[in-house]
Amino acid sequence: MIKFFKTILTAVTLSFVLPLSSAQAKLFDIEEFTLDNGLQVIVIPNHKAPIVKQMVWYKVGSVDEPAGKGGLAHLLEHLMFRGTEDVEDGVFNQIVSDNGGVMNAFTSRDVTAYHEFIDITRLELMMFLEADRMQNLNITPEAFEKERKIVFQERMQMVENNPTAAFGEMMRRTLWQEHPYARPVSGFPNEIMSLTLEDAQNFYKTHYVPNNAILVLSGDIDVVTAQTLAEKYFGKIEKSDYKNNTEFQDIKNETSSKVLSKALQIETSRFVKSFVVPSLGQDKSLAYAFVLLSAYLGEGDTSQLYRRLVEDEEVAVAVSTSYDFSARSYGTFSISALPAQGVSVETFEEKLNEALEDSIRSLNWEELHKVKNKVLAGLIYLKDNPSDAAEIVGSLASVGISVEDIENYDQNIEAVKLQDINNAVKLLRKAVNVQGFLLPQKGA
Amino acid sequence: MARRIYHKKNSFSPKLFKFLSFVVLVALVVYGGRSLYKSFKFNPQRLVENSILKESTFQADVKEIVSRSGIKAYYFEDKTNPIIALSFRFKNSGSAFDEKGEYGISQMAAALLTEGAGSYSSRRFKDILDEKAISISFNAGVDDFSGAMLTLKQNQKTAARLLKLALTEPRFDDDQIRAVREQLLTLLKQQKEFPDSALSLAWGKEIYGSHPYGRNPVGDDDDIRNIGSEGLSTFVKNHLVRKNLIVGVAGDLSEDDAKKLIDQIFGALPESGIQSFVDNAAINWTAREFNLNRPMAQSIATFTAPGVKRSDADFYPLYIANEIFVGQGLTSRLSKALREDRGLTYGVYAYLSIQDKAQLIKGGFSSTADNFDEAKALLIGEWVKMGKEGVSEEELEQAKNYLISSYNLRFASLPNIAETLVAMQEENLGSDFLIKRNQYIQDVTLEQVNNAARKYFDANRLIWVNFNSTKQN
Repeated sequence: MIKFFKTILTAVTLSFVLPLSSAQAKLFDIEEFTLDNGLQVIVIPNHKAPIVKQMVWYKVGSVDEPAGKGGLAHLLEHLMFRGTEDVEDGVFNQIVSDNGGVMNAFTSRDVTAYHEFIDITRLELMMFLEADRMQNLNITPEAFEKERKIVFQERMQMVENNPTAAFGEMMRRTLWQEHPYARPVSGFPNEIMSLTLEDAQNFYKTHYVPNNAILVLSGDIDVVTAQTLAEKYFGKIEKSDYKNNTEFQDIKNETSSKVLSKALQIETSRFVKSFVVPSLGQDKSLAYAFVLLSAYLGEGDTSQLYRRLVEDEEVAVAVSTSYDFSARSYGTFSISALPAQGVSVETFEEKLNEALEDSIRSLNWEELHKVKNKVLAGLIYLKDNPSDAAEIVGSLASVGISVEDIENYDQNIEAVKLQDINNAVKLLRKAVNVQGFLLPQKGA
Repeated sequence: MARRIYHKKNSFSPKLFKFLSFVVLVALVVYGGRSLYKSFKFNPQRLVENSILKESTFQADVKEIVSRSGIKAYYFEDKTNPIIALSFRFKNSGSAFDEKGEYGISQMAAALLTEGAGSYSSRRFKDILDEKAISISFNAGVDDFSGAMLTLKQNQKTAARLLKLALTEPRFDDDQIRAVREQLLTLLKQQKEFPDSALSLAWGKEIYGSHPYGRNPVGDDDDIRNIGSEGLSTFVKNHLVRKNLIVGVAGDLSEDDAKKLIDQIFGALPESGIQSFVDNAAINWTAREFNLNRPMAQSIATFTAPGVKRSDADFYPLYIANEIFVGQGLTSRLSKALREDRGLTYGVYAYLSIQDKAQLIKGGFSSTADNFDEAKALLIGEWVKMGKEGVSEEELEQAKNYLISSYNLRFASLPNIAETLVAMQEENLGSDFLIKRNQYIQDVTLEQVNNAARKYFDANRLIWVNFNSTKQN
């Protein structure tokens, strides 16, 4: 993330933002077209107010970094604000600010996105700026040095200063092993400080091309205007013979690992169990089944695990599940909990496993119908905020999910059968997983 | 004639003159062409002026309505989607008003109001919310106890019925009290784990001392263990009353339906209750520094100075001065000095904190120990400079441009709009505020901003509360 705000530190986790429709014809009423140079353009009209969110998503993230170059994708994200031939260092931020725009950017394992939320009358200017930096980035060595320091400080603030972050990184390393998802997006501190200007330039030249990007325009705009403007600003950018060579290792070993970590500043116990499961791009029918399984087991305090472990058995203060299906490679299914004070690791594990088995056993047609309704009932809220809609649609499209699948999300959820859920459960039982406890050091 | 004079004075031959004329002509063409090229090249302002996207006649038409039972509210109609958002606030019912021995009761009530009401058990209540995609939530702030409801138009009656029950007949069953109690006790522990929240508690004590604002806003461990259904019911009876109520409603419903909805939900609330009184915070503004040590990767600094009330004549000038000092984006003086030009920190911030009993300018940054002193010295330098020299005409213009052009962004979501309607009433801004606001910004003069800068950016009233990193990187 380029910018730090005290209050805005949201991560787009899809299991969270796609929680809630009665059978709507289409989820977002998306319009889509592709320019001759391969740039995919997604338009999400919303005419509530004269505002628009522009997002440019590059299908490149930390997984695409060369070995030992951890943090490169993220550093480049920062450098994208450091000037082009026409728009010098510092001028980009000044122009966006002068025009009342709220801008930021973020890097994930799979993608990097840049966005401006702005009054519709200033959209053309923002399109000029994004198109400009897609092709003309010009980083001086001085700007590079400064930005690398900022990125280092970001790692220190967001990760090293967070007493639970080291545990999270250890869990990911254990789960993903040789797979690039094992590495932190921020890179390790020594990696960050060893990155060079040349590394950044090469990464930029290779991956920042129109045929590896998606432009999302969400707000007070129609598709005809969007097409005219997209052609005008992005149409002239040359297509490259881009090919992404990143290899995602198959995860075949049926390993089940355990992590027990104690930390000085930790006062309350935490539990996490994560499973490697198919993403939406890898297996649609399983993915929709996992969406429902997660909602049934642990999303919200009407879920099975919450009622049993928090309300009935009092062995947890909180418990939740999540399924991240939005990924270029595998998806992740996770169970997180705060075990109640005085409950041992062994007792918690035993109670959780019993609750999981009983919940799975009691999942019948009626329960499935109920959980489908819970997932679908509020989908229309997603249409409310054009900024949120851009983030949701962009995050899915940028990992290869078709606009058709995004629009038909509700119908695909509707179509899930009990047998699909059973298949998902079967897969979960043998999936590579890691289970971890983070415990207080004192008195433990 | 000209030729003759040239000839005489400079002994230029006609040939040479022709040649020189040619050179001048070429130079003119090249220069003119370059200027012309430049004018086509990139000019942000021209790009906006020539854009095919023109300003629309968007008007935020907020109405003050009064329900049949006499409840006043602000209302904003928007039919983009079949959704209704409601926001409300009970004044003087937040954590600062928790009675002695009951610190944490407002937080507990906020968590428990949706845990069953009337004949509905907690489970039945939440199952209906799930089935109908209705969201009802409560939150105890420091000053006020607030709530929000989001529903599909088609489910508004159910939503209103459940919200009314939550406000008037909450059950406070023992099992639910126990679960919420455990959650709050866990939250108290987690506050100590994270440097930001731990520092925030230390900061509160240093700034507010024994004033209620200095207490942990979550509550007190012992009190939370002792609060039961009786105390909670008394809290509801005394605080969730019409006298304290402010309401905003936005979305796909007519003015008449909005009035009916408000009466359905709030009509049966008692008129008033017994409440305690909280004094204004008496803050010792002597400049000082309070340092705590903690083994962590970065040091964290916070700085605090006196601020203004929303209704104060200095509000807009100071708001603009702070925007220039360290506002949004990365173009502010502090972002440039500490971050963009030197890479000393990931972020530096400050905002006007406007609460009922205290008004502050509050800011901070974090950085590794090797950068910390330099960053802090730069910040103090900028603070002093702002107080002495104020801002330039150009900076003022830029800040106004940002604040005015970004204005429409607040209409992105219905829940945000409903919340804005409540804030407008709380601050007595008037129902036409959204139409007038940009003019308020436009009217601020350089002199007003610089007077405010002189008055508030005072190094003799700057208090630092810091966590110093004791870890070597």
